[in-house]
Amino acid sequence: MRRAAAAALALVAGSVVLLADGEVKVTPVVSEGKVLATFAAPAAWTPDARELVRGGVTLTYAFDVELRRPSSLWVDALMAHARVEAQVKFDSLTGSFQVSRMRDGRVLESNRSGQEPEVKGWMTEFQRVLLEPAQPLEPNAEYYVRVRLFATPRRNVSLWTLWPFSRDDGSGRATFTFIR
Amino acid sequence: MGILGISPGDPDARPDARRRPLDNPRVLIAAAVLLIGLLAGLIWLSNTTTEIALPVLAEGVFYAMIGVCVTLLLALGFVLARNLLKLWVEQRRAAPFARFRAKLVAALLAMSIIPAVLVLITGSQVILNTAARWFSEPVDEIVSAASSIARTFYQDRKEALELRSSRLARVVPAPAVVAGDESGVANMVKDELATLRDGMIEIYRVTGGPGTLPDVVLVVAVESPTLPGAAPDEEGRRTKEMIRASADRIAARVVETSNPATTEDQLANGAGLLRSAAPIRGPDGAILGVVLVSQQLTPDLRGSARLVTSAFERYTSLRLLQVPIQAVYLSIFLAVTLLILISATWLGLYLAKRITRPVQRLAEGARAIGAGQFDVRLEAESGDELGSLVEAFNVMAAELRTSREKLEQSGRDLEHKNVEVEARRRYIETILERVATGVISLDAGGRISTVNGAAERLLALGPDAAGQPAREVFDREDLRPLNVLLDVIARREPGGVVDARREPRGLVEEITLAREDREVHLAAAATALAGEQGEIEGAVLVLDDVTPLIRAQRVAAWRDVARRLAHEIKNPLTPIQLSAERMRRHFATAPPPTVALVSECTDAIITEVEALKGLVDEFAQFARLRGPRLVPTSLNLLIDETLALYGGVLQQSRVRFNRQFATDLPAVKVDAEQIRQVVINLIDNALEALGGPVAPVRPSGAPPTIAIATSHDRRNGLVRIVVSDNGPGVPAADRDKLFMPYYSTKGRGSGLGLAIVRRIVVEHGGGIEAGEADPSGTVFTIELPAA
Repeated sequence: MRRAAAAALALVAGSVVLLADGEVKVTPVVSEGKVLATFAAPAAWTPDARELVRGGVTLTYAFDVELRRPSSLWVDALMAHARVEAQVKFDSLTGSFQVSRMRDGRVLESNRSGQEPEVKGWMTEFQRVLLEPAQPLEPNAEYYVRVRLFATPRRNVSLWTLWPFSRDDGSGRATFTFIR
Repeated sequence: MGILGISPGDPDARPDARRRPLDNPRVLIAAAVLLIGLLAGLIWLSNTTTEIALPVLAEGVFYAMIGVCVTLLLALGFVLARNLLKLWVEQRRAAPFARFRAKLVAALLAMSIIPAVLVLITGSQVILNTAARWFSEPVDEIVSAASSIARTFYQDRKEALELRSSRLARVVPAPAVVAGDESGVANMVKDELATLRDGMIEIYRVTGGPGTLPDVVLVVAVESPTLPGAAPDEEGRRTKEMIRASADRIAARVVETSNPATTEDQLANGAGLLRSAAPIRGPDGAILGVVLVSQQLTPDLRGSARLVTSAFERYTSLRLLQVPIQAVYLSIFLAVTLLILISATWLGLYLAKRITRPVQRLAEGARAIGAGQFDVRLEAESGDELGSLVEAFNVMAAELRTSREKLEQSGRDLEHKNVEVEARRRYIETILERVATGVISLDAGGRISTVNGAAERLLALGPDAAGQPAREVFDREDLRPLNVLLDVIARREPGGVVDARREPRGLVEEITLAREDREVHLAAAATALAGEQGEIEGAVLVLDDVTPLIRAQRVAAWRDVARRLAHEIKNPLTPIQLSAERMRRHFATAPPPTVALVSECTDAIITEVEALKGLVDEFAQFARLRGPRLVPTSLNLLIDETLALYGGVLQQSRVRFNRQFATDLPAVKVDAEQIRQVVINLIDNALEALGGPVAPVRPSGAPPTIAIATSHDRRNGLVRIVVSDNGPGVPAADRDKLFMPYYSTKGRGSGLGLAIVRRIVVEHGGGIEAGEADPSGTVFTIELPAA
């Protein structure tokens, strides 16, 4: 019965990665009407995640990168969106990590390394992720880039994830004013 | 449509003629197939979870199952809530069998929910316990140790190879490599290869000068004959090419990164080729070439190591993802339980409906029949006992309808007969009310049941006589003679039973009732009423007023006497008168005393003879009174003309005529002369009673008055002439004798006046009575038929 209670408790709490809001550092750069987002979530490489990876589980960090324009009356307008993922698989025989980085389901690069700091960088840092808004940015308007992290699998399950508005494992945002 | 339906043609009696979807066999089969399919899917899923990648299982499958469980839970809640709400509403409406149905549903739900929940709890506990056993400490240790052995072995081989490549890079003569002198390095490499089993050594030199990208060129490559790909077949050639290409890439990467590199290539036979590359550096540290040392890991060795590490990874993954995987199995188990619950609940509710609905329909049918709808028919859709019950109900309803129709027909016949009996009763009552014969009916207890109008008049009974014992009513002084009838009836019913066939039940008696002013002669008949068994149920007294008949008999007798008297007396009178006149003439010459004597005697004789002649004439008139010649006549005018005859006589008199004529008096068929004679006779008698034309004032101070009134009795169809005076009146005992011939209260006259008056009135179809006037005097009332 105690196990059942523990399992029930696990259903409502626990995740591989659970970052505080703002622990994903976002740096947007505007170039030729496009936004290049650089972000890093070094805190996402948690001991729990490391244990999971070294246990042979393929761990995926998915980052939802959104360019939005704030709105006081309605939901902030979504100007552009990108989804980048980093997936790592540890080979315990060779002691090497196989890391794949993808954008919108397309593999960007695949690397193998036995160095965990290097792997951590591949998993938690993305450089110059292109956000191409459908409409040109408005001069002197305020925008922000929000990055949300979703880590799978979860070591424990949470009923929060059944919430229709998906709950991320961490996020960060950076606001900027577009000046031509 | 449900199991039962009310017969068509009676929409009001068809509360559930609409076919329900769940009563459709196709829908039922589809629902059953869907449930079985879902169940089979869940079982398949639980069997294939081992083949699904753990992240997929822990993420996608888990949340999919949670979605399924939530959906099933909502479906179960909906089914339960809907049916419980319906049961609650039915109970609130006090619908028939609602309580029974609620109990049945509760029992069926309890029978399905309690075991299912118990199985869910137990099964969940078993899953959790089993999962806990998977990751026990010994298993942990074994798996970790095996993985560590494999990893250590691999690392040892790798490190040994790296040491070998590093050492070889240091001892290989760099100038020979730079010069591409194969023979300069081949011997040393071959010697090294001899110490390497299933190995391969390759030496590359770096080409390209300053300003150009460095490249690597193979200088020498030697390999063990046991190395795969050494065989001269197609497979071996391809393997060799693949190995060579891989070596080129490794060498190029070492040159590019200036660092040693270690990789593993997988060979076609499943073996692995562990490769370690080290740069050959010049005195200035520049990279002049690359030494690549490779050694094959046999398929068995490599496979075992990989198997161990894979098992370790799977085990670790399972342990790390223990909770989500447990949740997946729990969710599958929960979904199966919910499916079973939904199936059982739905089946229970359906069965409850199948059981209670026919009974409910039967109750509704019974209520409809109770409300008079005998054409209600229930349709049985099942051939089981309920179907037989429905058939029995229909037979009962049909028989009830037939009985009802017969009853209604009997009722109509009875009503018709009642109408006839009622008409006959009214007819008889009318006759009884209209006939002059008095009829009194008595019940078995001797109480008066009915008294008709004639009996009330004859016996002077009030309307309250009905319901009273006949003996109490007849105990009145003047009615006591009627008790003889009751005595006779009582004597004729010893034991209360009369043999109607042997004994005459009627008795006819002539009874005379003495009233204060007259006598009433009745022909009374008492008849006992016997029932079918001969018991006495009552009696009927029939009373006929024979007083006029007796009077007529008396008058006829008197007329006969009068005729004889007239005949016997009148004949000798003429000789007597002639003899007296002769004697007077004979003694006319006699001496005066004699003459005077004779004259006196003969005058007396002649006077008396004349008187006798007058008397005889009246007798003769009485005896020979002609029949009336009836002509429509205004009685008011006739009486007025008659009274006018007294104008001269009463001119100086105190006597007054008081006329009270009815204005609506119809013309009456009478003989005007005879009626005038009647009126004159009555007025003469009144004048006589008042003392003649010079009548004095009455002792009360009132003037002597003769009142003449006429009236019209429409109800009885009579016209009345009332003549009264305020004279001294006639004693009550003598009033009935007034109309008898030769009875006179005046001490003179023939006494035939009122007898003639009565005879005239009777021959007009009427009657006359004498009564006492108020406050004094006599009143004569003549009743004549109006028509």
